[in-house]
This record gives sequence, structure tokens and C-alpha cells, in this order.
Amino acid sequence: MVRNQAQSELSTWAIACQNLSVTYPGGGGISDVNINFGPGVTAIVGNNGAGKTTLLETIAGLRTPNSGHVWLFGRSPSQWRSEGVNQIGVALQDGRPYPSAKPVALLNYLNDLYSDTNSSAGRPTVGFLTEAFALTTKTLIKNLSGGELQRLKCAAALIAGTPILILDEPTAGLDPQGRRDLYNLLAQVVPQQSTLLVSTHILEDLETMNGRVIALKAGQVGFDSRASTTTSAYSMTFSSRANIELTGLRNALAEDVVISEKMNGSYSITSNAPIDAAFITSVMNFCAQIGAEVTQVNVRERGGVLAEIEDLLLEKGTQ
Amino acid sequence: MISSRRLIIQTKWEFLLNSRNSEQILLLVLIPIVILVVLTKTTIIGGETTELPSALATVLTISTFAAGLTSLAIATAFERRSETLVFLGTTSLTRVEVVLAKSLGSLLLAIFAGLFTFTAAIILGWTPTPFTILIPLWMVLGVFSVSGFAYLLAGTLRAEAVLAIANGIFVLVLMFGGVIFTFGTSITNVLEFFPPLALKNLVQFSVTDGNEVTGVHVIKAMSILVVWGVIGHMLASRFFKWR
Repeated sequence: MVRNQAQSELSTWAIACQNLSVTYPGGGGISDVNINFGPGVTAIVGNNGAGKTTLLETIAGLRTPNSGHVWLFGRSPSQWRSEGVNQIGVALQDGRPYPSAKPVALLNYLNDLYSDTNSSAGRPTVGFLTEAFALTTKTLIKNLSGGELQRLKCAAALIAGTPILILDEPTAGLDPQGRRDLYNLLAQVVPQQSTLLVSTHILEDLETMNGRVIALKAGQVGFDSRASTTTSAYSMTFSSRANIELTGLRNALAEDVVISEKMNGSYSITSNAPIDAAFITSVMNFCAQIGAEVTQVNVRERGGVLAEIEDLLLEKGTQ
Repeated sequence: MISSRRLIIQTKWEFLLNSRNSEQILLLVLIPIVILVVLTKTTIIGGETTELPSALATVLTISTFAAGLTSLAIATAFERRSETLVFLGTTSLTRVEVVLAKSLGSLLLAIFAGLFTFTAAIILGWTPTPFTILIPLWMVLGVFSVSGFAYLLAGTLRAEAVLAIANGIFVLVLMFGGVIFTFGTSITNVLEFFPPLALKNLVQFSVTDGNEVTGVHVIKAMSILVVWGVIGHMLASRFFKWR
């Protein structure tokens, strides 16, 4: 009975990972990951080798866990697979599928394939995807540029019309403009109710994406914006003299800010409300009153989360 | 669960992609027809011209092995390298459907090549016999007998190695399998237990008018193809790596 209850709770999630471990003889992989995903965008960040691809491929049913489980709406990937129903559209990081085919031909074929089990309601058409992702009709897949290949893989993931989408490093090899364009496109094309997992090792990508953020470190979840206390959307950092009286500064500002002195004279304020000119003036005035000079003011959107992740990921390099 | 609809879509897609490949056309259509003409019209091979039914059996056997062993192994190996196989793992296709569609695709290629060969044979003066209708069944068994080994190669070795080995095996089959050159009785008795000569004997029985082959011979040759097929597929399913 206990198991059934747990099971029914798991089935409310689009994806539930339960004590999930996937290890390789040479090291790496993921160990004892417990995390659930529901509708909306989740960005998965981490250094190379942190386990992003392993986690995503295991959720997609391409890797068998050494221990633990993946549940998609309460059933395992292999259960869905054996019924020929796919719940996940996947764009893999590596590979160049069917290099001798043309992009649109590939989409047409996939469209036929999915028309068997995935209902056409809510499935984007080949025409729509071809236009949205600016796919060429004449070039063979083997001759596509990196950006075109990424767009094709995303379109191929979308055409299944699945409730879950997994895009593994879709911006790999793209320049900053290309990355921004792809995220904007995905924001337009991916249905709101989808559970979308996107991995990246580029932290700036998080500024373009709005949603939950998970950071993997050495195969484990090192940060989850849902569980983190650093949920603030905006942050301000500045330098001044050490040991400013923080309670006084907090009283001078709005109620819902978190202020901390990270190092001697290095301060961080996070706030759910946008940090505007008036806010900055309040900080400056407070410091002027106590005779502290303020330098290196920096304001960032989503800075609280980003700063925490940055700390986490950079730690590895300094060890 | 196997969905016949998905299987048909996948087979059609793979067949169309393969048949557009110019090397495949060369391997499956041109080479067999050239061999047919050389065997029946010249004395280059064996010192005398070969009887048309025997030459036809030789050529159909070659096409079946070209499709079911050589081109299947090479195509699968390169799909493994380009991670097309992993990509297929993300679709609604089951693994059995992926493999079955590949085998069916190469069977279709062999039959497609066979149609050209039959046309050429008829032009050269061959008359179909009642048992000719059995040829597709022999081709099914012929492809089955070697496709497992094609997967075994493709799923364990690097693509370049598969390219070399699969072509090498193909040449060995042509030269020493009893398909083109005939050998003495003692050697032939051994070769009959291998797929090339077993398949050639079945085809030859079906295309030769007034033959003296008994049912026992047919069942023996069929069994040999099935046994090789089972062994090959068992090894492949044990050792095949999808990436």
C-alpha cells in the first residue's frame, strides 16, 4: 500500500527520478539523483562531465540505470517503449541522423511514423516546423552547418508532439546571437504545457531562458532553483568598506531584500522587485550617511540564481 | 509489440534511402547483370559457357548476399557511427522494429535487383519454370541466413573495418563459396553446409526445367539457411552495440 501511494505521487510528475544512478567503468555518470520535473522550462547546467547528458539520456530511456528508477507519468521509459508510445521528443547532443537524407524528408518520415501512436492534435506540422526553424529543402543532412543541424534536431524532437521535450546542448557550437535566436524560437514554438528540459554549459544562456535551473556537479544535483533560498530575480553587488551594519541598510530598503557581505567589503543584495535607479540611490544615500564610499556597483537580472550557480561551477576549477 | 504500420513506414524509408545510393545500384544491379552475361556468353570462367539456369542461380545468390550481408553490414555500421541508431532509439520504433525494417529493406533491395536479373535472363532466352515462384522465399531465407552476421559485424567493429571486412567476405563468397566456381565432390559436400551454396542450390532447383532435385535436398538446404540465420542473430543480439 505504501508503495502504491508513493507510486501515485510519482505519477503526478511528468518526470520523476528516484535514487537514479548510472555509472561508467571509466568514471563519470550520475549518482543517486532524486529530482522531479513538471510542466515548464528547466535549464540543466553543469561543467563538461557533470552528468548532464547521462541524466537526459537515461530519462529518454537510452541508458539503463545501474540502480534507481525513471518514471514518466508514473511508468518507466521501457514500459512506454514496449507499447510504441513515446512521451519524449529528444534532440541528442551528438550524432547526425540519416546524413544522406534531406531535412524536410526526414521530418516527413518522422511525421508518418508518429501518426501511428501520437495523436495529430497538438502536433506541429512539417510545414510549420520547416518555416519556423528555417530548414533548407535542398541540402543533405551531412552538409548542414552546425546551426542548421541543431535546428533540425530541435524540429525533429518537436514533431512527435510529446508532452516532454529534452534538448541536450542545443546551442553547442552556436555564436551568442545564434544561441539567443534559438532560445527565442523555442520559447515561441514549444507549447506552454510541455515539460521542457534544456541542458547547456554556457551560463549566459540562463539569462535568455526563464524557468527553473538545475546545476549538476560531479553527477549530483548541486543546485535547484526550486529548493534554493536564492530565488530572487534581481541582484546588486557593490564594494565598500568592511562591516557595514546590514540591518540598517535593510531598513533603508524594501522589506523583501536579502543582503549579505560575501567577503570583506563585497556586498550582495538580492530582491524580487526590479532594482531600479531609486533603489540604487537609496543604497548610495545610506552608505553616504555612514561615511562609506561605494564602488563597483553591478546590477543583474536573475543575478541571485546566476551568482550562486557560478560559485558552484567555478569551485571545481579552483580545487 | 510490433506495429505493422510503423514497420512499413520504416522499411519504405530505409529502402528509398538505400536505393538512391549509387554504389548500391552498382553492387546490386550492374555487377549481377555483367556476371550473367560473362557466364553465359563467354568462356572466361570455367573454360566453357555456363548454362543459363545455373548462371541465373549464381547471380541471384550474389545479389542476395550483396544486399543481406555486404550492404546491410556497411549501411548499419555507418548508421551506428552517425548515431542514427541512437536517434531511432528516441522515436516510437521498438528495437525489434528497427532491426526488422533493416532486414526487410535489404530483402527488398535483393528482390529489386532480382527483377533486373530475371529481365536480363529472359532477354538472353531463359523461360520461367513453375517453381520460379519460390524464389522470393529462398531470398527471405538467404537474407535471414546472413543478416545476423551483418549485424554482428556492424554492431561490434568500426565503420571502416566493417567496410573492408564485409567487402572481403563478399569476394570470398564469390570465389570460394561454390557460387561462381565449382569444385570437386568432396569440397562441394562441405560447401553445401554453408549459406552460399545452400542458397544457390535452392535457386537453381527453382529455375531449372525438368530438374531431378528431391524434397529432401530442398528441406536440407532450407534447414541449413535457417540454422545459420539463428546462429547469426543470436550472436548479434548478444554482442551488438547501438553506439
